[in-house]
Amino acid sequence: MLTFILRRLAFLVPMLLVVTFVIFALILLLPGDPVFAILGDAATPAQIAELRQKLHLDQPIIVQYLVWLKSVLTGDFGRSLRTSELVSDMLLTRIPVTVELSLLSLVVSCAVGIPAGVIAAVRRNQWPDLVFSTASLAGIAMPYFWTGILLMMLFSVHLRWLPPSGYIPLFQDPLMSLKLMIMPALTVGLPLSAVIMRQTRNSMVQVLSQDYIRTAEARGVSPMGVLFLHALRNALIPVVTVIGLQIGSLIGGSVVAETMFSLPGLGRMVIEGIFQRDFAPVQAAMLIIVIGVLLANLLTDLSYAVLDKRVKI
Amino acid sequence: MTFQTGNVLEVENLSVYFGRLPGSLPVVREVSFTAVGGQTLAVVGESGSGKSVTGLALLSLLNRGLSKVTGSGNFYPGSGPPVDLLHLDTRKMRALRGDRVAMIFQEPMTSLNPSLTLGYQVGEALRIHRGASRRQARAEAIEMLERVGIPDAPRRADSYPHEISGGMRQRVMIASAMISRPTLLIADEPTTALDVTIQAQILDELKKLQEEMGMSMIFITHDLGVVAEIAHAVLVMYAGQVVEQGPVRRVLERPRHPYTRALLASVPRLDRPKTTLAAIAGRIPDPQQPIAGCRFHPRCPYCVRGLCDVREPELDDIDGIQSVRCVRWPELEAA
Repeated sequence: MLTFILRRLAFLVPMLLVVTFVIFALILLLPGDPVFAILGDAATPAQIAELRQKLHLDQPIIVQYLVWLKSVLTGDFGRSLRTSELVSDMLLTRIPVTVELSLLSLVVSCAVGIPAGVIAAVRRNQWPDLVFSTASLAGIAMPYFWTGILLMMLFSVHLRWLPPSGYIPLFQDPLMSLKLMIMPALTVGLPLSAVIMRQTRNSMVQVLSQDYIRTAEARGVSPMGVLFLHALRNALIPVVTVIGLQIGSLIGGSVVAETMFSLPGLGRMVIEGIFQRDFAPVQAAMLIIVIGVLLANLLTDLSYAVLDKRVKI
Repeated sequence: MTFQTGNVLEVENLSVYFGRLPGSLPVVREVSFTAVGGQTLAVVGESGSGKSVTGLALLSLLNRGLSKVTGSGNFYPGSGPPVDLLHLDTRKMRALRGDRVAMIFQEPMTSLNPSLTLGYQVGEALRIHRGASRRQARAEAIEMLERVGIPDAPRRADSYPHEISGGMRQRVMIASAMISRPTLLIADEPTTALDVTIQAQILDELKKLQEEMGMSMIFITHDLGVVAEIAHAVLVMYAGQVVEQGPVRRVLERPRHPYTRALLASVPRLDRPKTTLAAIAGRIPDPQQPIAGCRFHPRCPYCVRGLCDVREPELDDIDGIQSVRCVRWPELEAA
């Protein structure tokens, strides 16, 4: 188990090198020049040349990358070109926002998707199945920004139950913080719940036709016992795989939701940085997101060992 | 535990219909039999003869929405008045299942839950029906695992099904069915998926447990070798009907029905190495296809046109202990 974790962590290193280089290169492909973004149109060629040199922009990409990598390894992510804020300080305030949003979204998606999937499987080809399957199709088809707007219109404009946007740290005012997080978490979590519902339904249908379910019934196990003790445990294994695969789109949803609901998270840090040609925060935030996704995948793999008794790590 | 010697189960006119369409024909037709305490009734037939469906119907394990069961099945649970298994509400049926009536299935590889420990699965019936604690159930499960010949039972109780072999899994299945000392055990081809040496061990195990606990057993199989080994009485089924029934020696030594004869002829025998194995030509009919006359006549070597394909035979009582469903049995007997 421990060797497995260590080996997987060691694998993260080359993966991160490749991913960070790709991120780095992609950012350089973006149109626009940070020098102009900082100095404006009226800058003299001498000023431009000086800033270029200061930012290593006159060097080849690979050199720029290595310079960046070296400073990142020493914990120095640089400063924001716009605000001169230390990027590492920015990360410290923004990581908790994205973590909170992602975890709440995950809770929403499981809390909605798994029960809906179980009900649809038990009542397969009857109306509950039809309702949930249709709803999940809609859930998958709706883009995040649209779901978000609909939620805002419903809960903030019409019902006036929830504040439309903003952020308060969880430890400062837990209730208000959660209130502000409900809509973003629904925006990101509902489409994922649709995917989880479909997978839960299908694997539950498959598990319920297994011989060991009949054995349990022949033993006098109650319908609830059959469902939750004998069936769900086995049906959840592929569901966990799907959740693991969806972590990436969870982060993608967070970027949209953070922008819509004015949450100061990593996603918005990336978006703002890109629009302002402020690359240091973008690179740092992307790095953290990638590490997050890779660690989430590792956790998914580890969870197999807990769920599927045939998997030995 | 009560050691029952009288009738444990009296099934009368059990019919099973699949599909709710009004014109659907039964897959099991008016099957009647009696299971006796301490004895084994073998239900024999090829795939599709309705023998497994009969077993499942007795415990209401057929999908209720897709099947209809008629007839009666009076079960004497040892103490208290008899109950009709075929007309029992779901809750009462659930209380009997795994307690007074237990069932084991053909596929040991897939009949155990892959994510529950063997100890839990064996002890589960006690937790459900006797309100046993986790610890009690585990202790009794270990004892039961030892009785069915699982080596190192305390450690095995914490193992999962994939960690043991098919033969061992079937022993575990038997242990889980027997732990509540049922009055009646329905064993649906419990040895079919196992190789011959393991098969013999499992049969011995079942016989031993039956002697110790005095339970009645309905043993569903297609293997006449197994029947000779374990049964006291035989019920031969063909296309959903009983075609012959009687004490095991009588039926095996003097089969009256052409189908039983053909089945016996198709058993490989070591003492007659030169003969080629006889097969029964054709295949079992689709239950939804109506057949005039005897249901076996299209495959029967003794079929007489104008008789067997017209007159539907009754189950004739021959001598009070053996009965046969063939209009020509007295002629064939004389020939």
